[in-house]
Amino acid sequence: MAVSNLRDELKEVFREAAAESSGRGSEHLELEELVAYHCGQRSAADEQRIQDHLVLCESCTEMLLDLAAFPDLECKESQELSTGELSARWALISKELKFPAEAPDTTRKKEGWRLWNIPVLLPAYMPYAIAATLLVAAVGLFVWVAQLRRENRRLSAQVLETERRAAQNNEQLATDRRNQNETDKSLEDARRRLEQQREESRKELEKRDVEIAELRRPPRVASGQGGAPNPAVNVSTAELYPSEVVRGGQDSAKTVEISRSARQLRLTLNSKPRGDYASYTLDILNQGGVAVWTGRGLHKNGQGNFTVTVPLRMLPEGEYRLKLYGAQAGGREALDEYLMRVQYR
Amino acid sequence: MKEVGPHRVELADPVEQLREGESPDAAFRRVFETYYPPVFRFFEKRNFPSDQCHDLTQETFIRVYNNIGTFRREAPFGAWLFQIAANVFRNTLRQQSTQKRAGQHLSLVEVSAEDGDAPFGRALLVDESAQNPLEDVLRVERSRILREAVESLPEQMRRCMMLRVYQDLSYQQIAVVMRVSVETVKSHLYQARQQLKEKMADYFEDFEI
Repeated sequence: MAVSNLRDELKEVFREAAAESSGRGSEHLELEELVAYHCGQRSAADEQRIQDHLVLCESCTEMLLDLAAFPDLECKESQELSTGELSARWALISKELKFPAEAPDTTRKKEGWRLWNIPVLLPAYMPYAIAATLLVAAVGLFVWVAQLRRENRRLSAQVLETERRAAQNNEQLATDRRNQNETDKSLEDARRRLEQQREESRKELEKRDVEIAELRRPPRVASGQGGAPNPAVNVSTAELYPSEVVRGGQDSAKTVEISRSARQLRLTLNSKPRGDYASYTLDILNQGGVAVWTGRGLHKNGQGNFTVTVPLRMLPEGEYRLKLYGAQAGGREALDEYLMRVQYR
Repeated sequence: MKEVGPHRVELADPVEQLREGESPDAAFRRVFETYYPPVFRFFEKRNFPSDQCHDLTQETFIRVYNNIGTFRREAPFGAWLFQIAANVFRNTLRQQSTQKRAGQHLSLVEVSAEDGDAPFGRALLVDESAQNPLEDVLRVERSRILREAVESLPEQMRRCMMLRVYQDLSYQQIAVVMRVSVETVKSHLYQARQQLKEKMADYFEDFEI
């Protein structure tokens, strides 16, 4: 069976729902919550809950609508309040309110009047603006500090690297200095050795010059004057006979023992009687057949023998063959041969 | 009142307009002169006598003066002042209710008519159709089916329809309560009507809401 109007039936259904809701003891919305809902300061879940209440609560809905319309509320029966009436009402209420006295000092005026202990000159967004500014400043400060730290680390690394390089350079310098000292020392040693060698060479040369001079000096032959030769210091003596008259012949050498302190060896060579020569020559050959010493211009002494002084430096230990020649025009003639073994003691 | 959106309003904040060095009484007088008339109308709308409206308005401004330090600017100054006026109104209702309970006995119908708290009073109205049992059974069945049809609607759609049918609000008022645009309200109501029409075509002839 169809009835005429849906709206009436719906209203009845909703009325029953409202009755059930009020029967469950549903309280009116708190005014603070209503204001927050109107200002869009509630979560989506809260908005759903508030709307569920509003659709069934005419009182709260009316309050919300009045809030939305405030201060331009309309009232059909209302009459405009006259200026005089408003002044009269102000006179009444101003007696009950205790206004603070006006600030006499200029400082307070400069700071601005704060009637109700709130910063009346600051706009509502000012705390957020200050907070945002502080946040930006903090972020900027953080970034700046981070950059300073990074720069500090970089500079510290550079300083460390520079110090490391300086230490390496110092070490290298010390090494170079040590090498230089060693080189100087080596050069000094070399110079000293050269000086020493030079001194030795010089001494050797002097010694050679003395020997040369000694060798160049004409041999002193005592036989010519028939007297005994003058005794000389550090001179050893030995007397030799031709090998052919010695027992053992060619293989029998006379051993001559010489003091190590002696410098010269005076040999007395006995010769077989034969015709005279203008002069005589004596060659001393070592075992290899090399002449180590030669004496020229020799003459017989009074006994028909020869006396020859030979520097011992020329005669190291060993066997020697001495050959006596007689000089004649155009050549020389082998006369006698002597064998001698030199030993130092 | 400055319009911000279709359902949002932003009330003028005279506190922001205070000039540097202005005397306290001059500043508060400007607040008083700006908001006395709307606060007075707020109480007048709720059927208080004129003298009591003045008294309640004065009490509201005394509270505003004494509690201005608690104003945190989370809401516009006008909304905050309105909240104080509404608190004065509710306290007054509470006191009157207490006085009446302590005094003479009143019927619930009379109380609801006097205090303007409509939903609680209407819930106890006597159902006159109960005199015909058959019609009552049919009405109950139809009402059950209608209730199911309403409950099957999407929430926002159902709420818009309830505000429209149960509280007789205009599209603009519904938009304010639901915090949506007027076009959205119209769309919700049209779709709700279409869906109910599909389900309840056998029961109703007029689907205009």
